[in-house]
Amino acid sequence: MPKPDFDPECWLDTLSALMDVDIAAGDRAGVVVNLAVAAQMAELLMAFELPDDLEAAPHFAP
Amino acid sequence: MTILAQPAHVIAEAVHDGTLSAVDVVAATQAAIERNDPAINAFSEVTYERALSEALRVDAARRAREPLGPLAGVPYAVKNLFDIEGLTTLAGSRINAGHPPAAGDATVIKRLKGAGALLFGALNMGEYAYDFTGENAHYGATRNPHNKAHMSGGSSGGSAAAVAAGLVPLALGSDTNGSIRVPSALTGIFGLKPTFGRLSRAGCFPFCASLDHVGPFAGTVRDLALTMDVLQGPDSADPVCATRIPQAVSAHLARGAEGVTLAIADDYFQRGLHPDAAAAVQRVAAALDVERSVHLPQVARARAAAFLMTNIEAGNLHLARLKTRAADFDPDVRERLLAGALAPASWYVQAQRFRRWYQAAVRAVFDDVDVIIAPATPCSAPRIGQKTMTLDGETLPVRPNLGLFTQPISFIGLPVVTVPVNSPGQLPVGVQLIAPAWRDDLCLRVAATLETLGFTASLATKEGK
Repeated sequence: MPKPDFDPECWLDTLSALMDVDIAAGDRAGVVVNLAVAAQMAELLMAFELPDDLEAAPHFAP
Repeated sequence: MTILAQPAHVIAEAVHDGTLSAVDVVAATQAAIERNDPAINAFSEVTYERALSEALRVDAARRAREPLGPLAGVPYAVKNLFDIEGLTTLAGSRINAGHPPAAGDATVIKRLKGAGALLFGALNMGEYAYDFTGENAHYGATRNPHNKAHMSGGSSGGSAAAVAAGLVPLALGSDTNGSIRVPSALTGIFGLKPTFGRLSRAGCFPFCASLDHVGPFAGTVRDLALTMDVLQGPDSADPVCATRIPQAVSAHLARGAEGVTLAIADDYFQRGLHPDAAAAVQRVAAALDVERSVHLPQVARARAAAFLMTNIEAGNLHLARLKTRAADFDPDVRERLLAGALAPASWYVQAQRFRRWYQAAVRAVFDDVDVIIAPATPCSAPRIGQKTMTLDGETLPVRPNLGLFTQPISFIGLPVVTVPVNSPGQLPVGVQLIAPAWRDDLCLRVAATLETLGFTASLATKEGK
């Protein structure tokens, strides 16, 4: 689960360097906001306990 | 007959019985597009020569007493992420404008051509389909035909607006999180997001392959069903396209809502609604005499999971372009894609695993309910350029939140028909009719009943204006 104090700026700096993605200065604030929104979504999702035998559904047949 | 704003099945019947030639359909449709499209910006490219060529073949076949297809002479257009032979597939982007023209048609276009339909061109959309507004930094916003200061909705904004303006009776779009249902609701027409995997996506520029669907927009339920029946069928070129035998849905429409157990989605789907959207659900429920409500579990988490899957898959899809051509993206889209490209893998896998859990949980809800009624959007169309809206006292960005009620449903691939709800002096809103997987017929049947009860499409067809 992301920590409540998830720092999107720190995440952006670390991952963009690792992945060789250059973030233009004008985009930085917007990307930080979007990472923070994603982290909120992830916090909700990761807090939900799933059974170990539940398989992912990348090839989905409803 | 006046062709403008006639349903597809009416045009096809007139072409079949010889009271209307397909070539006359081309002339009338071209005139309507030339007269009315500049004000709404639905089309990105027109294909009049192709439409005329297809019309000549239809008319020749009729003269030769050869069998005509079920959509003979019906004009249509497609979101510009579908491959059209000879045209570059833009997917709403500036970057793709540099791609070579498509070598062939998308599977669904091939099938419409085989049914005798006439292709009039490609329709505007939000860049790379990452959009609920119908705005586009490169090609301009598609405007709502009912009030051109307002959004069409997106990302299939051109598809909805072209039908709502009466330019074509039929259009195709795609829906990953709501991109058929949101614009059909905001422009007051019918839209069908079929069961995931029921229609082929081969020849469509992807957005989030795990969630991408394609489907039709139309002014009548019968046209949706007729199109669905033409488009169904396996396609080895789409890895998720179903191999099951197609089951026609048109033949079941006459049964309507008889014997269908209905309920209204509660809790999550009743929060954050503007009064017009809330009233629309109540009007539909009252018309169908539905008082029962039903609870879908963990909807907020389903939406979160769909949000993350979309963000991360799309970020990955565009990663190379983000590194080399970042400045050529729509800024709003670029920032979202960059965030998705940097997100942790565990978030993505958890979302995929949760999808399995949620599928089983919602299947259980459908044990004693056939069709669920829910709002399509939290409000009617916002103004073009509007960045935020207030829901339940909270100020939220418009772009991701117009899909608040559609996103948790497409997440597990359920079929949905969006039914228009119109009120005098107000912009349209829509209501979702949600059925179990593979029971597209059920939501179409209920929509057909509502249509007979007065829930009809609102077409802004002021000829000559």
